[in-house]
Amino acid sequence: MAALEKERGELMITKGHIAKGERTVRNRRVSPQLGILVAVLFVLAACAPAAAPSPSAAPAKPAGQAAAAPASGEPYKIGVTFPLTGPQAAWGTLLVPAVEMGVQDVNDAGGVSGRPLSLVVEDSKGDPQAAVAAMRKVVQVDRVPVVQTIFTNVVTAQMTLADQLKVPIISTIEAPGLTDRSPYNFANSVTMADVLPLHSQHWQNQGYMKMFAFLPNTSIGEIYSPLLKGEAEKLGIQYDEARFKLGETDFRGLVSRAKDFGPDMIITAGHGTIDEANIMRQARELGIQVPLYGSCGCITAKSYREAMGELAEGFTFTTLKYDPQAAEKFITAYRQKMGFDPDYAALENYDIVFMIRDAIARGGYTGDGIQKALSEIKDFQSIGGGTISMGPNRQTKQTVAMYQIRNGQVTEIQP
Amino acid sequence: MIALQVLVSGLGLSGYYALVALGFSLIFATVKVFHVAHGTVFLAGGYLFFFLHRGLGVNLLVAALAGVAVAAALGLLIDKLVYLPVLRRGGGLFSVFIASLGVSLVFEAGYNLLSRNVLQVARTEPLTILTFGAVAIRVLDLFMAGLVAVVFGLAYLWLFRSTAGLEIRALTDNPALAGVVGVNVKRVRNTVFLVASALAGLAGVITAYDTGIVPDTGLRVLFIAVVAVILGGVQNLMLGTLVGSLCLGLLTAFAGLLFPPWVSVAVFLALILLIVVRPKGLFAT
Repeated sequence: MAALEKERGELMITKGHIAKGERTVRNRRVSPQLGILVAVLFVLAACAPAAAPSPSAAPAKPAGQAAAAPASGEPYKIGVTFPLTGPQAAWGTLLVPAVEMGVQDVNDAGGVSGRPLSLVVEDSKGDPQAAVAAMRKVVQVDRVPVVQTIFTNVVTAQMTLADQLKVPIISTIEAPGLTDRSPYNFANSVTMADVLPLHSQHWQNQGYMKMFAFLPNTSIGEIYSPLLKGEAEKLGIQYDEARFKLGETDFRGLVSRAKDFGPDMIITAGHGTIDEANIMRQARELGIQVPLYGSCGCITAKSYREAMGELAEGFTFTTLKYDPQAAEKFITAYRQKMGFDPDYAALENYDIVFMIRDAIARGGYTGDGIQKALSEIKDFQSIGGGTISMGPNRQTKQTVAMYQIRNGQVTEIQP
Repeated sequence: MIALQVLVSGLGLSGYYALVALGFSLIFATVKVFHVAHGTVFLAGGYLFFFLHRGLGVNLLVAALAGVAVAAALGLLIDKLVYLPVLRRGGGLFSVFIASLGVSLVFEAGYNLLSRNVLQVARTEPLTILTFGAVAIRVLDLFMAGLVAVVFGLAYLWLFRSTAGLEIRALTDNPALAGVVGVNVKRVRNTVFLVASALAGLAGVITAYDTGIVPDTGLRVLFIAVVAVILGGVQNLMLGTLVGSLCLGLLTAFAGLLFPPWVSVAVFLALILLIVVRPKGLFAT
C-alpha cells in the first residue's frame, strides 16, 4: 500500500491508522516492477465501465467490518468545518474523531469504487464569519465538492455560499426550517420541531405555569424563541427568556432575571455549549431549585456532562433515539479511541460520512451530483439502528425520545 | 427582592475587581506603567490552577498557591525582561504600554492555543449557598469578602505602617526624589510587581474556580479594574481602589440584569462620564 503524505489540516489514511495534525510521511520502498504492475492495474480499473448509479436503498454499513480490500488511490475529499477553537470547540473535539472513524470504516470496506475518502478539516471557530472563510478554503483551494459542518449559526452563514458555489453542506443542525432555505443545505438530525411535542406533553403533565428559557444571542436563539414562546402560550404557560452571549462566564445577572420571574422550570436551548451548563449551575447557586430541561441531548457529551457535575441529576432532555445494541460496534470503537462513550451527535456525524459515500457513488464526485444523490437518500441504514430517508426539505426524519438523568444514568421516560 | 439579589452578586463581583485593581493601582502609581499584561498574569494564575486542580487532581490549596506563586513570578519577569529593557533603551512610558499590550496579546494567543478558547472551570461540584428569604448568598462570596478585607487590611498596614510602605509611597509621590533620598528603587519596584502580580494571580485562581476563564477574561477583568482605579482616583491606593471596585461590581451586576449584551458598554459609559465630570476620580489627592 502506498504511503500517503499528510498535510496540515488534512487527514489521510496510512494503512489502517488515522493521524492528524503534523506532517508525517511514511516512506516505503516499492520495487520498480511492483510499481509498474500497480500502474497497469490502475489503468485497467480506470477503463472498466462504471456501475450505474442507483437511487435505491444504500448498502449495509460495514460498522467496523473490513469485508473488501481497503481503498487505495486518489482520495475523494470531504470538507469538514467544525469548531476546533472557540466556545463550541468542545464539540469539535468529540465529533471530529467520529467523522474520522466513519472515513476509516468506509475505506476499510473498499471506499467509494475502490477509492478512499479523506477529510480536509478547517476550523470554523463556531463563528459565522470564520466558518464562511473555512468553507471557502476547503471548496476553492482544496476543491472539495461537499462539506460536513455543524451548528446553526455557522450553517446559516454557510448556506448562501453553498448556493453560490453549488457545493452541498450537510450538518446535524437542529433548528427547523433552515434546510428549506437552500437547495444545497442538508441536515441529518432531530429538530426542535420534532422534540417540542414531547416537551409540550411533559410540561402539560407536570402542570407547569411559568417557564424561563435561556437562549444564545445567535441565529439559533432567533429560531427557537418563537417556537418555545408559541408552545408555552398554547399550553397557557407564562413565558420569559434571556439571551446569553457565547463565551461569557458570569451569568448571574441573567439568572437573577430568571429568579425574579419565579419559574416552575427552566429550559436551555442553544448550541449545547458549556455556557449552558454554566448557566444552570449558576442558577442553582442563586437558589433556583426548579427542574432543568434541555432541548437536545447535549448532556450525552462528555464535556457538557462534566460541566454539569452533580446538577445533571434530574435533568430532562430530548434527543435522537437509537438502539445501543445496533450501535454497539461504533460505541465500542469510539470508546477505545476516546476513552468514553460517544454522544448522539457522534452517531449522526458518523452516519453522514456514509451518506456522503453513497452520494458520491451514485451521483459522482461533483457538487451537483452529490446534491442530487443526497436528496434521494431513502432507507439509509443508520448506525443507530433503523433506516433514515431524506425528506423533501432536505432534512432527515428520525425517531426521538425523552430522557432523564436518574441516579447518574440516562433513562428514557414517557412524557 | 431581585435588586437585593443583584446587590449581593455585585458585591461578590467587586471582590475580584478589588484584588486586580489594587495590584494594578500599585504598579501604576509607583512605577507609572500602564500594565496591560496584568490581565495576562491574572490568567496565568487561573490556568495553572485549573490545570493542576482539575487536570491533575492536585489538592485545591496547593494548586491555588502554585497559581499565585507563578503569577507573581510572571509579573516580575515581565517587568525585568520587557519593561526595564525598553526603559533602558530610552523608550518612554508609551513604549512600555505598547510592549505590555504586545505581551498581553502574545500570551492570549498562547492561552487560545492551550485552551482552544473553551471555557475552563476548575470545579464540577456546586457551591454551597446560604438562603435568607428570597436572597441566596454563595459561601464563596462571603469568603471573597473576608479575603478582600484581609488583603486590604494587610495592604494598609504595609503601606502606611511599615518602612517598605513608606518607600512605596515616596516613589508614588516623587520617584526622582525618592531615589535621591536613598530609597532602593529597584527593590521597591521588584516588591511592587511581585505583590501586585500575586494579587492578580489570586483573583485569577478564584475566578477559575468560580465561573471559569477563557483567554479574554483577563483583559475584560483588567478593563473593569482600571475603570475602578480611575473612578477611585489613581493616586489613592486604598480607599479609592476599594470604592471604585465596589461601584464597578454593582454596575456590572445591574447591567448584567438589565441589559446583558451591553455590560461592557455600561462600563465604557461610566468611564466617559467619570472623565467628563470628575477626571481625577472620587478620592483625588
